[in-house]
Amino acid sequence: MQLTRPPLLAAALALPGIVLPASEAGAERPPGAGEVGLRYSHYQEYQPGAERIEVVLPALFVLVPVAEDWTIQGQLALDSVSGASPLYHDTLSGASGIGVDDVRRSLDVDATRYFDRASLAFGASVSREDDYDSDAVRAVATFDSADRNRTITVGVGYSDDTIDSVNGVAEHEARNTTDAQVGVARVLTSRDVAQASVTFAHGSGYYDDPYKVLDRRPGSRDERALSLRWNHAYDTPGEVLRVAYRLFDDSWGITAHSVDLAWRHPFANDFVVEPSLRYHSQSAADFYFDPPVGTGFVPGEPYSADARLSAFGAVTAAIKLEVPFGSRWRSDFKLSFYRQKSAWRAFGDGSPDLLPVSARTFEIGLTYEY
Amino acid sequence: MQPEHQRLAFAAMASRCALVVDHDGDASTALAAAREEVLRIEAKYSRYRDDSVVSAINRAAGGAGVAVDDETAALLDLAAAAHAASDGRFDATSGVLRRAWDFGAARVATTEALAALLPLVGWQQVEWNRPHLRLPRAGMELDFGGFGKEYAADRAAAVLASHGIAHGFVNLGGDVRAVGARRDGAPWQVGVQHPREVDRVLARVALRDGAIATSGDYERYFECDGVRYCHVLDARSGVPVQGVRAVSVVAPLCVVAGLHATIAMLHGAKAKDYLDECGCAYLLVDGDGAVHRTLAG
Repeated sequence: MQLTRPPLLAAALALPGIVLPASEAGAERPPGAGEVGLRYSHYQEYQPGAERIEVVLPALFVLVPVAEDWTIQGQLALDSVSGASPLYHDTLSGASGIGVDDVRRSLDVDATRYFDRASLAFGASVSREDDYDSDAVRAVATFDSADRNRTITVGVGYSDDTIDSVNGVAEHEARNTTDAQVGVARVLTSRDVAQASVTFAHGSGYYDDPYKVLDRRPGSRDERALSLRWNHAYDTPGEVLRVAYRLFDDSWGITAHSVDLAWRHPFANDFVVEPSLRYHSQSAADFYFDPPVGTGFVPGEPYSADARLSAFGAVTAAIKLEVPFGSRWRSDFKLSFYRQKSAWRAFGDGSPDLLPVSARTFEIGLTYEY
Repeated sequence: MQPEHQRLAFAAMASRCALVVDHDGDASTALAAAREEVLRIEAKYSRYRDDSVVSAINRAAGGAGVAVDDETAALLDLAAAAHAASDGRFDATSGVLRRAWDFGAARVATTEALAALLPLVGWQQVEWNRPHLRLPRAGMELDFGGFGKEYAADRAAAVLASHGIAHGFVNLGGDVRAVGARRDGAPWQVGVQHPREVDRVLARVALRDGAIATSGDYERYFECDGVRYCHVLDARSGVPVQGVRAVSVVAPLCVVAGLHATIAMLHGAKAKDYLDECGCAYLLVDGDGAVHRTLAG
């Protein structure tokens, strides 16, 4: 074979504009601190040096009273998701590309039939992504007591998901989830309503994260949740304090507690301000292992280094404004900040060696009543 | 605490692309300019776009030919060099063979179909007298697959550098070009995908400058009667290469890394000989799955 290197490299070096100025690389000294910035007006999640996801969700919402006792509501949403989660390597070199950049199209339709002291709602959702398809159906019935002081809610749902990861790791993998929910709401005083509900869900199928180098999760997941809510109305019409607590556990070994506080305060002209605060704390999944990746991995056994399955605490602070204009238009704006840290876990230690995760969400909504 | 990296992910050239920089200050202008550069090259050389230079060249096949600009001319010189360096295995006119190989339908090309197309393949037929290019036979097609994306990675890296970025990398569908190490001097860690277990990383390669590109039989392929037919076709026979699963090459430029990786693939069982001679650091998975490497890490 002839010597092949010189002609190829020489021809490549003759290409315009591809050789970097020699002085650039390595000329800059490392600065003392890293930079964390907020640059987008939609959802942005960031973790120093690692995972980042951005989501934009424009949605069209329609509520149509089709007859006196019926409403049909639909929501058409379009997500754009871009980012990458190469947590263990900066990037991958492969014959096919890697990363996350897909668009989700979804359609939700719910039809509700109202009876004298009951309602029955059926809904369906279809969601299509590059790598994740989901079809779901649900039914919810509510029954009021004769004095209307008590409402029982019963709901069931089923979803049929298909995962086809773009990197070819998951090919036509399926996941089915069935859930059921029972709740009782009770009017305590003229100003207080309390609600308790329990939710059970059973899912089976593919739970791995196909974009992670090493991620093997059990083939099923059973979840239980108990929710307690209390709403208190004040003298000012529309002023409400909402308190909620949720206890969650699942067959993966995660136990979580969440507390929500929200205070809705209307000012003159129906201008509403609603600050809210949420605290969440969870234990790690049984098969979550602390970094460095690979530690604790046993072939055939579940393994994950996904920070969402670690032990952590998280706080979300949000403020929402509702601004009416005209007689039929209402706009709302909501800004929330999320911060997740291992050290913030309650009732135990958080997972070590994880960087904090932060996210910011900005929502803007416009509603027209007719 | 590790500094936050600024990242821009997008789709181009039928690939997932990511631009990542480790920069003190807002790099969004630099990232946007680098993406624009990738999109510019895609638009200019895509064979799927009617208004591309490549489409204009192909439409003129069998006719009078076209005069090309300097950038295109340099790429054509590169195509000629790659054809020579590969003893004709790599050929920028081999794209027409795709008509015989239906990877979607997993259909093995018939001898008749290949015989009908092979006369349209062959860089030696191309009349290339800078700046005039003529494809002599109607139906001949040129495409810049095999170096177009790699060239875009090099150009995008240069755009980042021209905006003052000294630490970052460009990854266009697995073709990676570094623009200097991380700010703390540590190299970027590039995972090399395992050719058979897609969720596994075969190796980690540390990259401070230069580029790594990978060619593999796993990108697009089908199996028929126990034989794997991949999309890397030997232009001389029109048949997919056998005997090598994946090649990753590290070179100063992404175009060089990419061409060496592809040409090594095209050498099949003799890939190792080619790689040893070309002088680049490499990682080779041969047809039996054995790994040969000169790359550390």
